[in-house]
Amino acid sequence: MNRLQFIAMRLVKTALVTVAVVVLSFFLIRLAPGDAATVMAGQSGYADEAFMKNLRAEYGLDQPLPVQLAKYLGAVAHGDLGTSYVRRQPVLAVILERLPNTLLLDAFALVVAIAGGVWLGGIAARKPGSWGDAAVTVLAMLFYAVPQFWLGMMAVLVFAVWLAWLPPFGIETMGADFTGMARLGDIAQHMILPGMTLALYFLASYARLTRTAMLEVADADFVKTARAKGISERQVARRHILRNALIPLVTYAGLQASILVGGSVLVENVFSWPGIGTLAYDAVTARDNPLLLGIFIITAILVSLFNLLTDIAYSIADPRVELGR
Amino acid sequence: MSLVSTRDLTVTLPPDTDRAHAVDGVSLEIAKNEIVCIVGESGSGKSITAHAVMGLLPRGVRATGGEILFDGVDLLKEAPDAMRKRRGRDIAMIFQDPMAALNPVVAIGKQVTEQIRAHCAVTERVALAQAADLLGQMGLKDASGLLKAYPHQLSGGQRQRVMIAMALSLLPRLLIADEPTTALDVTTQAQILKLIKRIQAEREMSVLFITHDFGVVADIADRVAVMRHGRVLESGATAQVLREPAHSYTRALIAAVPSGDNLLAPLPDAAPLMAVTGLTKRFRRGGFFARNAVTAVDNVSLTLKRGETLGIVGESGSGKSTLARCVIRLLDPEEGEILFDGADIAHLSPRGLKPLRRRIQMVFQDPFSSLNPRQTVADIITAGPRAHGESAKAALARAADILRLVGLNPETMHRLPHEFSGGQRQRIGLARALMLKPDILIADEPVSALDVTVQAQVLKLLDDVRRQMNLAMLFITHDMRVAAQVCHRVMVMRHGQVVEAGPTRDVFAAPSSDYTRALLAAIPGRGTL
Repeated sequence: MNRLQFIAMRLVKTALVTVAVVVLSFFLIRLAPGDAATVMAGQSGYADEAFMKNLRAEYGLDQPLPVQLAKYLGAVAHGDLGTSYVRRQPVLAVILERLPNTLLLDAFALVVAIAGGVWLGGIAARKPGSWGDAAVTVLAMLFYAVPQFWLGMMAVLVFAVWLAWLPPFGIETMGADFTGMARLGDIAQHMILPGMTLALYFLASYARLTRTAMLEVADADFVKTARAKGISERQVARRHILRNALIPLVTYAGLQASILVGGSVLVENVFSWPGIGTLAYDAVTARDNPLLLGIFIITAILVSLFNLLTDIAYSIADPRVELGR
Repeated sequence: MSLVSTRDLTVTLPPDTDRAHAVDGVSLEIAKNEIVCIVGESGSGKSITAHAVMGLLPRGVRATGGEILFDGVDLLKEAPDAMRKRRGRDIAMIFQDPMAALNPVVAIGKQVTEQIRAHCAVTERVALAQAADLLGQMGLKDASGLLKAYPHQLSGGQRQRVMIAMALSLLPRLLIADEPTTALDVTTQAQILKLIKRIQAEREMSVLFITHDFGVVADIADRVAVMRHGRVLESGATAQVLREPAHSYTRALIAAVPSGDNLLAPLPDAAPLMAVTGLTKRFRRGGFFARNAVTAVDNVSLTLKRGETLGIVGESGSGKSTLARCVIRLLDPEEGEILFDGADIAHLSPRGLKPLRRRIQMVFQDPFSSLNPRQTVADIITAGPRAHGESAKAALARAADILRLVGLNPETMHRLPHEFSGGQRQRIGLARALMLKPDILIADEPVSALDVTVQAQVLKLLDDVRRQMNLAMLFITHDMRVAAQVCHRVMVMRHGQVVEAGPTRDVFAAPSSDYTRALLAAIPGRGTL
């Protein structure tokens, strides 16, 4: 099986996974008592039996579940994810409007977590058992243990309220109407607190992972060969130890990307970041089932794609791994 | 004059180890243009001595006494940076396992040029041209293609040639070779030994060669030093030490090299216990769409009588282990039949196999990874009988007898595997197999991970047990010398096919195929020992 066949095969699998996700979540969502009609009726402040019945008929909620599912799957196959009950807009449009924000935040968190984690892990691995190693270990445990929403709130309190260095919420300053570079700078400022909050947990994992991997590789024979060549310790560490230690990180980075892409519901909500996470939260509270299902579908597709990307990245990082083998 | 001389070299181990010194007052001389072998078993300190000369002792291990004079300069007093500059330029080193010694994710070319560019201010292009030239000198074909390849794409012999090319790139005055052929096939080993000898003579280089094999010593060394427990027991010109070893340990080491004398005679004719006909096993490569399959075992037939040992000899990739795994039905063969006690077991269902499993047992190569480190010896060796319905109490009672049979103290059965040495662990592995009272014992390279003197003991034990229990034994090995010691008949395999088969005496005295002749010729020390 060559590269292209492998990728084609994986895309087929992605489609199958997506269908499975749709079917499962379609039924799962309907397990909860009540439906969109109850929520809408509640919002309108007026409801009698006839009104509810009309609403249900309008949205097709009065039909048997399998029929609803079949209709929904048919529509999804044509790229129509339905209409949001609450927003009265096509679901796909709503998601695509929010998706870039989540991806931007994720990319930032991913880069910070990997760069910071590898750096800290490298320091810890240089002299195992030293003060530096102990400090990194304690820091990592701390980042693991602290709940993200609390970390987020504390960050807001310290950096936005007390120190007033950074904006506490949103993606841009409201009403400022920046353009060009000024706008980018404004977004970057808004991104720092939620991005760091998201990154720290993963940063701790990377630090631990890097430390372990580097210590393991440091005992490998080829590191001895490198020293026998007479190259400097710095080059031994960079070219031989770190280069090999980074391979397992690829897998973890893929995992992190998959976790983040669904939108971090907690962190996005703490910082009112207009991404998929806040959207999902709103959809759940409003019983906006079409929107929620749409989010599931897009997330499932993205997660599958990230897994594929991880495999491709892995085969690049490690020449021993061939795609499809 | 000596290029290297160590005087009373002492290397101290970290406080929590079982002994204080890895090397204890070692004095060695290596003259210009000579090959000196240090020979010894694991734990003798031979490798640590070499690493001390290189200035590459493991973490926590330090040279605490004596001196290492290199061209008159004491290397132990050199500043770390000066020592680093010597490494690769004045002193180069090659290692045992050429797969592990090359960085798996860096292309070969880059690894060779790194060595050159660490000491010479040349561009990558110049260094690459130099690297290609070096690989050519090492007898490697298609050098420019190899430079772009990664280590896993090369064979063991090619990798070791790359290592040697790398080590020689800056014309070092001393080459340290730490068991450079131990991980290689015999025929490859013979080629690499020849290569090292040729290069040494051409460049008038000094070589410090570490080995556990007196056969290799006989082939390559000008002088030899025998080490044990961190001390040099005896040293001198190779011919002299081989002819008149002064120390009893040296005599034991030389005697442990199988000589090929007193070979076992074939057993008289009898009905075979097992008869394999036309066995074929293919492995599909790649995934679902793969068209190309590798035939690992190709139409192999054999018979095995009670009380008989059949040796299956072959180099890595010859299919000998796959054959064994098919016979014991750990793998499912595609074609052929395996008649065991009259019934064909080649295509028996797992359920049908279960009662037979007990009767065919296996001893594995690696005594370290083949025992569960978290189970006591008693648990390990009674697990099989208990699975076949024997009560724990009865199994334990028998365990004591079996342990005694394999030469272990039954009182140690409540210990964990790590408390035993390699040889003892292999005895535990054998006890585990014998607990099930098998009819057939399959031994897959049972001694290749062991020291020579331990090897001899375990081989004798296997042979004794075979006699006592009238076992049929399938003995898999890459080593013709080992096969000669315990096998009534041998079967030589290559590329999945049987090249030659017959009574051991006949095959050794008059091999009928070129490949067998090559295998026999490649045995180190042949003719000298």
